[in-house]
Amino acid sequence: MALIEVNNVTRHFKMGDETVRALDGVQLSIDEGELVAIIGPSGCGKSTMMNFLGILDVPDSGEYLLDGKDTKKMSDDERALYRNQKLGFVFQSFHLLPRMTALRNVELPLVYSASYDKTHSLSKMKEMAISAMQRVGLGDRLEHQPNELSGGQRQRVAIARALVNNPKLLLADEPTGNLDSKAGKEIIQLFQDLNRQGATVIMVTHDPEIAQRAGRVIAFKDGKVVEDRANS
Amino acid sequence: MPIREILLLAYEALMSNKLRAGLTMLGMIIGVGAVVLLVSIGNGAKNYITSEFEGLGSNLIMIQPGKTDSKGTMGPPMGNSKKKLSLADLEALERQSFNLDAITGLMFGTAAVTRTEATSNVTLLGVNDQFIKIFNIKVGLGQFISREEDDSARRVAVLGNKTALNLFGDEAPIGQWVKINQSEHRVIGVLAASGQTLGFNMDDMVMIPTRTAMRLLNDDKLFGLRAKAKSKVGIDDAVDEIKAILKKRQNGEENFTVTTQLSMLQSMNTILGMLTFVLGGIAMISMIVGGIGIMNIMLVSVTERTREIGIRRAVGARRVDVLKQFLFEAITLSMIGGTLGLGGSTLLTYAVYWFVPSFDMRAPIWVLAPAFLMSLLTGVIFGVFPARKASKIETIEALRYE
Ligand SMILES: Nc1ncnc2c1ncn2[C@@H]1O[C@H](COP(=O)(O)OP(=O)(O)OP(=O)(O)O)[C@@H](O)[C@H]1O
Ligand SMILES: [Mg+2]
Repeated sequence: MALIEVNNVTRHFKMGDETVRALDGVQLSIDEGELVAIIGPSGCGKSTMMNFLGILDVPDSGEYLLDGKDTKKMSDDERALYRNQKLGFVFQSFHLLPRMTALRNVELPLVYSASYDKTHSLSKMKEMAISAMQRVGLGDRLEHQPNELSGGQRQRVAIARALVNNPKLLLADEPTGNLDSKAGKEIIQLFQDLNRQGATVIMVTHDPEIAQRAGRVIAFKDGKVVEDRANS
Repeated sequence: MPIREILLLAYEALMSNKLRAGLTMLGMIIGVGAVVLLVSIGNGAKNYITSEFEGLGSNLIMIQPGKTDSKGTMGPPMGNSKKKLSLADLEALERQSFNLDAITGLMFGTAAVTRTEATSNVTLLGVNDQFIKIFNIKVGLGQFISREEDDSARRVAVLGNKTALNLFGDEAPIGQWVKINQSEHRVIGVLAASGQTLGFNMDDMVMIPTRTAMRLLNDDKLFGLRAKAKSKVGIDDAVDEIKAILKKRQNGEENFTVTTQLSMLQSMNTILGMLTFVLGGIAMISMIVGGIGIMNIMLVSVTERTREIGIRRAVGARRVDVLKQFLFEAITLSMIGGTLGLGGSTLLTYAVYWFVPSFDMRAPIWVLAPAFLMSLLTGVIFGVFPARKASKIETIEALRYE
C-alpha cells in the first residue's frame, strides 16, 4: 500500500479578481521507503504541495490518503498527533522560535510528545535533541539562539528539529537552499542514510545534482505534475 | 505538555517583556492590595469595637422600660414608655436575684455645672454606689458615691476628669462646692481619666446619687437599670431571672427590654462584618480592572506570537496545548501580581499597626486563601478568552503570519 495517495487535488488562492491555481489537479502516489525530489520553477506550487502533504493545509478539492487514512476525516488532534509522531517537516523559511536556544528549538516536538508518551524524561529529551544536533553537524552550537546563527546553521537546526522524533516521513522544503555544496552534500547524505533506515523522504530542490541523488524526481509546473521519473 | 514546560514557557514569556509584564501585574497588585487593605480595615474596626465593648464590663446587662419587638437590636430603646421602671423595681431585683453581682438605677440628663464663673455643660448621671463596679470605672481622687449618700439623697457629686479640670484647674476639687442646675453639691470624688469609649465620654460628666438626680430632674421614674451578672456564663440565667422578677411586678406583662452587652456586641459585629464584605466587594472592582489589563495584554501577546503558535502546532501541539500555554501565562501574571499585592498590603497593615498600636488593622490570616483564590480566578476568567483565541488560530495561516 502506498504511504501517500493524492487524488486530483486542487488548491486555489483568490487574490482579488484573480485566482492563483497553486495546485491544479495533482495526482500522486508515493510508497513507503522512497526518496523523492520535487523540482520546478519558483511559484509553481511546490511549497503549497509540501504544506498539504504535511497535513498543515487542507485542499479545496480532491483526496489525500496518508497511511491509508483519509486526511479529511482526521480530527484536529489526530493531525497534531501524526505531525508529532510520524512526520518531520523542514520549512523553506526554517520557522525557528526566536529567543530560544537551538537545543530547545530542536526539543520542541519532544515537548509535545510527552503528552502522548509519559515515559519521556527530561534527560532523554535532551539526549535525543543533542544527538539530532550532532547529526546535522551543530554539536557545538547548542546554546546559540537563532539570531546568533548563520543562515545555513539555522537551516540545519530546522533539519535537526525535523529529525529529532525519528519520523517515518520526512518533508523537506529546499533543505539545502542556504548551504554551500559541501554542507548540502552532507545533508543529502544524511537524508539518504535515514532513507536506508526506512524513512520516506520527500524534498523540494532547485539543485539538479541533488535531484539526481533521489530515487525519483517529480517535476511541477503551474500547479501540475509535468514529469514523474525514476532515476536509474 | 508537561507542567514544568508550561511553567517555564510562562516564565520566559514574562521575562521577555519585563516592563509590560510589570505594568500588567501592577493592576493586580493594586486590585488585590485594595481588597486586602479594606478587609483589614473592616476587621480592625471590628476588633477595636470588640475590645471597647469588653472594656465596658463583659457581664453588663441593660434594662430599659418599654418593649422592642425585634431581637438583637443595637441596644435598649431610648424612647419614652408609659410603664417606667422605678426604684421599687430596683429594690426588688436587689433583694430577689441570685445571679446579679451588682445593680444600679440610672438617671440620665444634661446639666450645667457651675463654680463661681466657670460653667460646664455636661452629661449628668444619677447612679448608686454599684455603678463603678458594673462599668469597671476607676476613681482618681476622693471616693465614689456611697450607699448611704444614695439612700438619703445627699447633694454630693463625682466629676469626670476633664470636667474637674475645667472647673477647678490646678485647685484641689475635693470638698469644694459646685452648682448643678442651681443646686449646690459637694464634690467628693474625681474619676480617673479614661478617654472616649464608644462615643461616650466618661471624662466629661458629672455623677450624683440616683435619688438626688430624681429630685434634681423632677422625675420619679428611672431612665433605666444597669446590672452586672456574676459570671459571663451565667449571663443568660441572670437575664431570665430579671425578666421573671420584673414581669411578676408588672402583672405578667413585659414592659421592659433586657439587653446584654454580649448581644449588642454580636449585632455590632454582624454589621461590621457586613461592612467589611461590602468594602471588600467594592475593592474587587479594581481587581476586575486588573483582570481586564491582563486580558488586554494577553490578546496583544497572542497576536504578536501568531507565528510561534503556528510553529508549535506544526510540530505537534494540539489546540489544548496552545490553550494551556496562554492560560498559564495569564494565571502566572495574575498570581504573581496577586501575591505581590497581598504581601505589600499585609506589610502595610503591619506597619500601620506598628505606628498606631491602638488600632489593630493587621491583615487577618483568613484573608490569605480568598486573596489567592481571587487572583487565580481573575487569571482564569480573563485569560481564557485570549487563550481560546490562540488555540483557534489555523496552523497554516499562523505560519504565514508576518
Ligand atoms: N496564502 C497564499 N495566498 C495567495 N497566494 C498564495 C498563497 N500561498 C501561495 N500562493 C501562491 O501560490 C503559488 C505557489 O506558491 P508556492 O509557495 O507553492 O511556490 P513554490 O513552488 O514553493 O515556489 P518557490 O520555489 O519560490 O518556493 C504562488 O504563485 C504563490 O503566489
Ligand atoms: Mg517554496
